[in-house]
Amino acid sequence: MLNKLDKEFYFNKCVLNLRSYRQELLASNIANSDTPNYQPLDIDFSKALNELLKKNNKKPQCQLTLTSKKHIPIAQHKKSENYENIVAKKYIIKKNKINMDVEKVNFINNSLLYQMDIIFINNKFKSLMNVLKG
Amino acid sequence: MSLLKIFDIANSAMIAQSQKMQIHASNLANIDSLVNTDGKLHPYIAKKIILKFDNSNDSGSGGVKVEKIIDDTTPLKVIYDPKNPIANSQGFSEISNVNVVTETINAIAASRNYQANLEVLNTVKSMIMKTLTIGQ
Repeated sequence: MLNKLDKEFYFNKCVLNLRSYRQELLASNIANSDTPNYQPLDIDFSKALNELLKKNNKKPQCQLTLTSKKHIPIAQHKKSENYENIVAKKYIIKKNKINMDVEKVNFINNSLLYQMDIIFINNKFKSLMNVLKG
Repeated sequence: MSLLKIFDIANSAMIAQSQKMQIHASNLANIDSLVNTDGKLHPYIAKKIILKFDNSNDSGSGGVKVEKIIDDTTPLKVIYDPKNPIANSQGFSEISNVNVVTETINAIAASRNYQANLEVLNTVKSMIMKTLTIGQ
C-alpha cells in the first residue's frame, strides 16, 4: 500500500523538487544582477525531469530474497532519493548575459507552476481520501 | 531544502545592496569634505564597491558578497577658489571627484535591486506557506 502511494506521488515529487531547485537558481540570478562577470544559471527542465523519471524505472540494485509470500519487497525507488546529486551540476545551463526582466518573469512563472503542482498533489490526496472513506 | 536556501541568497543580496546605497550616500554627503591624511588636507575621493558571486554552497547557486571597496580613479576637478585652505599659489584648488548624477542614479539602481530581492523573499515565503498546506 505504502509503496503504491509512493509511486503515485513520485512524479509530483520530482516536479516539486526540480521547481524548487530552479527557483533557487533564479533567485541567485536576481541577487547577482549587479555582479560583474556573473553568468546566469538555469536548468533544462524537461531534460532533467526525463532523467529523474528514467532513474525511477531502473530496477533496484540490491534484492532481498523473499521466502514467504507475506514478506514485503524492498522499496522500489530508494535510489532516487539523492536527486540533488543528479541535478546539482549536470543540467545547469550557463547563459552569457543577464536580463533582469526575463529572470523576474521566469521567477514568478516558476513559483506559480510550483504552487500548481501543490494543488495537484492536494487534489490527489483528496481523491485518495474519498476512496478510503468510501 | 532549496527554498530555504533562497532566504540566504536574497538576504546576502539585500545586505550587499544596502551597503552599496550606504557608500553612495556617503559619497554624496562628503562631496565638499576635506580629508586629513598625514597632516595634509585632501579633497574627499569617491568610493566604489565591487560585488562578487559567492558560491559557497555546493548546489551551483549562490548569493552576493562585497569583495572590496576601492577608490574611484576619476581625476580630481580643479576650480579657481583662492580662499580655500588647500588652494595653491595661483589660487586653484582641487575638489572631490564625486559625480552627483552618477551617484544618484547608482543609488536608485541599488534601491531597485533591493526591492527586487524583497519581492523574491515574499514570493518564496508564500511558496513555503503553500507547501505547508499539502495534505490538509
